[in-house]
Amino acid sequence: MKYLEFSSFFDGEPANIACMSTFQFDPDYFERRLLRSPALSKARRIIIFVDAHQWFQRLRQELPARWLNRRYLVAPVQHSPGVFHPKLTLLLSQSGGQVICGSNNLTRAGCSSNLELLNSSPFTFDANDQDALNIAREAFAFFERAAEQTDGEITRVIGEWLNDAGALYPWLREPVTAPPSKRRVLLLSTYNGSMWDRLVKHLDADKPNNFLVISPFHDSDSNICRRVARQWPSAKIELVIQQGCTSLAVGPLRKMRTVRLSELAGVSRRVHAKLLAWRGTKGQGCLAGSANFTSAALDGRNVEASLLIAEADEQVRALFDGHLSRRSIAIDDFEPGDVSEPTIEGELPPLRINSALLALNNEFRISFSHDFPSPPSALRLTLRTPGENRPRVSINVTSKAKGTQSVKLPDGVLSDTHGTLLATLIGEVNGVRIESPTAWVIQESHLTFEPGSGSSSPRSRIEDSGDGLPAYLDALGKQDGITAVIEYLGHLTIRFDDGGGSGQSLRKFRLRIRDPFSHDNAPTWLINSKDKSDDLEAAIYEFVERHERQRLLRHVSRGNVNGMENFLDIFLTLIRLLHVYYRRGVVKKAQLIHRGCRLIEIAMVGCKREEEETLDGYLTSVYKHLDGDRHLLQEVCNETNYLAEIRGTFLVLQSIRFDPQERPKFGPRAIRPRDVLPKWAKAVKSAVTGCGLKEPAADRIRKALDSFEVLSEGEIKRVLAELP
Amino acid sequence: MTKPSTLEPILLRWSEHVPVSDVQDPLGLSLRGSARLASRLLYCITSITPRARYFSFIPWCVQNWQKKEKGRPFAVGLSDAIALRERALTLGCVAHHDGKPCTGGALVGSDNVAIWFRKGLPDVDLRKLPFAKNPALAAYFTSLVNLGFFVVEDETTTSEESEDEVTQTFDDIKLSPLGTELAKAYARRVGRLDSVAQVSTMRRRCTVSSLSLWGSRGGLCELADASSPDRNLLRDIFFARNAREETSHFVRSRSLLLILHLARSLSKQNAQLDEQAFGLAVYFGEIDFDDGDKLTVKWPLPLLDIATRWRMFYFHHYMSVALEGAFAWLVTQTAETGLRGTTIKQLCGTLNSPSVRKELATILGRKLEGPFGTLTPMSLLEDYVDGFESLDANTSKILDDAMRPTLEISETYLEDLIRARTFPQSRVGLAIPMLLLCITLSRFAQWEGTPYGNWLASVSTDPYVDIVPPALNGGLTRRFGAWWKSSWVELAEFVLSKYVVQQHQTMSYEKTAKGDRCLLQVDGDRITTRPNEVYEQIGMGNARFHSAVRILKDLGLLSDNADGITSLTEDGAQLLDDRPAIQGPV
Repeated sequence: MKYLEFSSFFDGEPANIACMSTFQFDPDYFERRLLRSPALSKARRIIIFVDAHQWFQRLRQELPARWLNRRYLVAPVQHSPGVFHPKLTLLLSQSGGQVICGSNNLTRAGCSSNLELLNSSPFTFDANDQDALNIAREAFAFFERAAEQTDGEITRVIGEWLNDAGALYPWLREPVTAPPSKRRVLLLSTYNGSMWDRLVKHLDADKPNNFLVISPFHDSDSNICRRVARQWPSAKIELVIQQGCTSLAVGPLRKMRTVRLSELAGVSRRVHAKLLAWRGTKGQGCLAGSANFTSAALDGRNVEASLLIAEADEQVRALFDGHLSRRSIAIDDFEPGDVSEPTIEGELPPLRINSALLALNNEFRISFSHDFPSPPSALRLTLRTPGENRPRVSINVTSKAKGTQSVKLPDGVLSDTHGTLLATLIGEVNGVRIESPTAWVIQESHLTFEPGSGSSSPRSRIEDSGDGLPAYLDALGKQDGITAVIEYLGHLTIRFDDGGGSGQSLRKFRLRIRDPFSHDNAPTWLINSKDKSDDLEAAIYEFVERHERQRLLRHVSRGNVNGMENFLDIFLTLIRLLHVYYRRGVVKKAQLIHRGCRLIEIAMVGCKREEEETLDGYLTSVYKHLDGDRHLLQEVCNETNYLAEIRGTFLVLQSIRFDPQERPKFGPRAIRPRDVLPKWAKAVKSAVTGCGLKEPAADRIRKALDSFEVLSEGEIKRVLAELP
Repeated sequence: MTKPSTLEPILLRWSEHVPVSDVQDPLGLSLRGSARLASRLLYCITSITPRARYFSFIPWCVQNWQKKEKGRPFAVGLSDAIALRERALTLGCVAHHDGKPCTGGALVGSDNVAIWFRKGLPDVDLRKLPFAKNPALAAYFTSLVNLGFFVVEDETTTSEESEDEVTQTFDDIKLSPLGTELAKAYARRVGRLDSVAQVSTMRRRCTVSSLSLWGSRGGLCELADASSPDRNLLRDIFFARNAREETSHFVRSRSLLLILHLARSLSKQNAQLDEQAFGLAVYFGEIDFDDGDKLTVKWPLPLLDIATRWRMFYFHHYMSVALEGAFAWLVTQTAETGLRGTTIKQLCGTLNSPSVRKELATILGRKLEGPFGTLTPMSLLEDYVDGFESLDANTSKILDDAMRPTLEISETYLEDLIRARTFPQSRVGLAIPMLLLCITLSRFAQWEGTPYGNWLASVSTDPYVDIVPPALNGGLTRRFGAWWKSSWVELAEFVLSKYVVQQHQTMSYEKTAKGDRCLLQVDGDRITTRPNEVYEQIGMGNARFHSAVRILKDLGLLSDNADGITSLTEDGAQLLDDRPAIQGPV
């Protein structure tokens, strides 16, 4: 039999939603291997259900995770008295999906070194394979149950996501009508009661006379093994063990005449597979998945998920077809392992964050618990980014034993963060300072990935569309200093693409000097580099002007409607760059207004090139090239959100330009932001009406303003109030 | 995704595993730490670019190809053309030295060429001469670009309209004025030779004797000859006499001056200039010799800055030795447990064993007041700082003064223990790295938050994977607060878990997508590795130092006497006294 790479299950089309469950979770492995797979790298939503107790233990180890709770949601499942132990995955994509049910955890060892048993049930919607769809229904129901065992805010988020999935794939919630006896493969989970009881029913029908068991863990009193022997006294039971690893008490086995041991020959990998296979006079089958051969697993104390497969003899035989073989071993020659079956090990941290969620409007919701005998005298929530030694935010929270609290974060405090956020609770009990393990803040607005919003590397994304430029400049500045930022801006040219195909130029052979010279500044690079901020300002203006000349005006002269997306990408990159650095005090207000208005002109009605002819704006140019086809123009504008982006930008410029104290030299005094920049306001309006287009709706403008990312909720509301 | 009409379920399949491949730099401390620091300190001199002559020879190759070949029917591409000229030079050098490569080594391709030379053939078809797989061009090219020998992108005039952009190739590179000057200087030395003329003809044939003449004039070790026109130019370049401000060229210049200064001090005591002496000089400010003699190194004020930066380099070095030592020990110990594996708790529990206590007492020459694992770094530091309460800049300085290299607790002594062959099996194989780590961090504490500490910290560009002393200290402080008051067991558990095991796993994915450069597997809290697995390459050291010394020798600024002692030449002494480029930015 050919071995199978677990990661190959994720080579299919991007998932709309991926629900994955595991006992142990290694975010470093997941992010570096599975999250890069075709199915997950562009998956819209990803949830990892993990045993809460295990997760709290892992949190103590300060795991390196760059995307946790920002790109994918980790949902700790609180289950007692057993553990949450399933290794089940459900992928739902555009044309089909897959249920993966195996023995491996989502860890490096589980996916790339242990000897595990893998199963997958793929399906497409057009094939109408009801067997496979039924397994998917059972898996979906499983995850809905698991979601109920998560913390409140996480339950809410997952609930919304699963409801969306239920609406998109309504068949998921249809009942499984086929009787178990008519199905070849069933997904069994302990959420539906004891696996043992259902097994007995199934096995009685098959009249088993041979059992083969592979399991790294057994009951310390061989409970299940004895039960099998009692239930089917004439059946032979073969337990496949691994010397020094399998946790199996040999004492009780000596009394059982039907039990014998065997081991896998020449295996140098840890055997973590779980399989209970049988052959009988009336049939054969197997149970394969997460359940060990223990009462905790089969009686339903744990949450487990396994596939019950009928007529599995051929597959079971194929497991030992040459690559692997079994050889008998005397009970006395067996040396058991000292690792016990997964249980709730160790104590929970005395102070812990159950969930920490950052909502859209800078609202922060934290759910926590503590086991202190008396309430702490103070409890503070602190937030930091992974590179920071000290918190950037520290806020008092109520020191209840268990609670959920919402706090409003100060405006702008997180505006420069572009990655994971870490939350810690610090309590003071009898003068002793106690910290909770650090938790990753759930950044709800980032967790849903929309197609087109991702690319392989930040640099290529920027060169492609300008997307992520401010964030990249920050990272670059942090790494190489402000000089590197200036140099980068000086060399960056965003790709031109108007759909004509000429934009796909070959990668150039480049010679660049790379000087690692570093100043002695602490990595808070911009603050300590004020002397260089003039150069940075000049570099920003040069970058804007160059893109105006080489990109935007070229779009204007071509007037190709297919270039609208690229025009908008570049336009917004320039505007946001100016705006971000205006807020940081690098770009002057007058410069922002002047350059911003010029960009608006280029986008809409037209402008005058220095010492050259007056040009149309991009919108009017496209309109002319389409020979007045306003329906097509409106359609493309709607697709790209063009008018709303331009209108939103102009509103931001007006709000910045407005100064209530200003006494104008000419014309009436502006009472509110919408009164300023009247010439451009008129030009924007006339361009829209001149092309026969509709003004964008407020919700579309709101979406455009949200994508500025640095505007607070209050600012957005104020800006929107100025809509004409 | 295409839609197959039927999709078969995959049932009961064994999982594939990722086999382990060669592991180097298991914690990324070299590539992501010392290599970055060294690239700042010895910019453009790498561990694989030790011969100064290549710095003028390759620009000459470019110029020679452009003048004599480019555009002709028989012309080969620039890359092949340089390789042909490299073959000629290598054979010329070997012929000139009667079958041996140039003194000082690193003549690329000399092994194969020397074998060919021994055949005694009178002439050679350069196209067929066996050569090295990787020519010198590959090693030196980036350094040449960074030194400004080629016209780079921001110096070329770009068209306003990108549709007119021309796709450049390697053949289109242009020498800068500086590169041209160097090429001309080398050409003055060899340009009229018959072999040089022949190398750019269609036949590419010439006599070995004519190549020998090329070797005698344009060879690697012949650069030191005062009559070489490119020598002074290269001196100016390496010592940044033409450099622009705000570049690493000044830093390199000061590093070279530092080496010259140390060579002078050492040669006065008839002591050898080597990597160990350099490390001791910048880290401790003193070198203790086996015969009991001691050299106290007093850096002149203008060189104090660069000496301190090199000291930062060695803080990172000692931290790396500690972490990699712990890694090597952990791998060996884990291998012995087979598939059963072990846990970090079990491994760290060994710190409390009586045998560790006994052996450490012997090594350190002091009695331990209890099992080692239960003690704290503080109990150790108290012996060196009266009334030690807290590790701060002040106590760190006191500690620095007190802990001299001859002490059994000093970094150099502990490093020697870790580098011993028997170390991975040693009972104190975890205790010694932990001691080295804590001593290094304690000595470093005085630099925290200072410009030099910040300079070292700035090497860490990725908080997830880059470990340098300030980052490690920050991690320990975040976890323990006053970490020196925590027990050795607690500290070891955290360090092994986060900075050894987890770091190794993370780094394996930095190197390959499959993560196969990984010796450890972690399942829950259990760690396993392959049977009989060992890791022995601890601490990469200062790989660029040897190249820097070799370049100084090539430039005729250092030379070895009959006893092998390296000392300044007259030119070297004069240059050191003139101290060029000290005024450059820091």
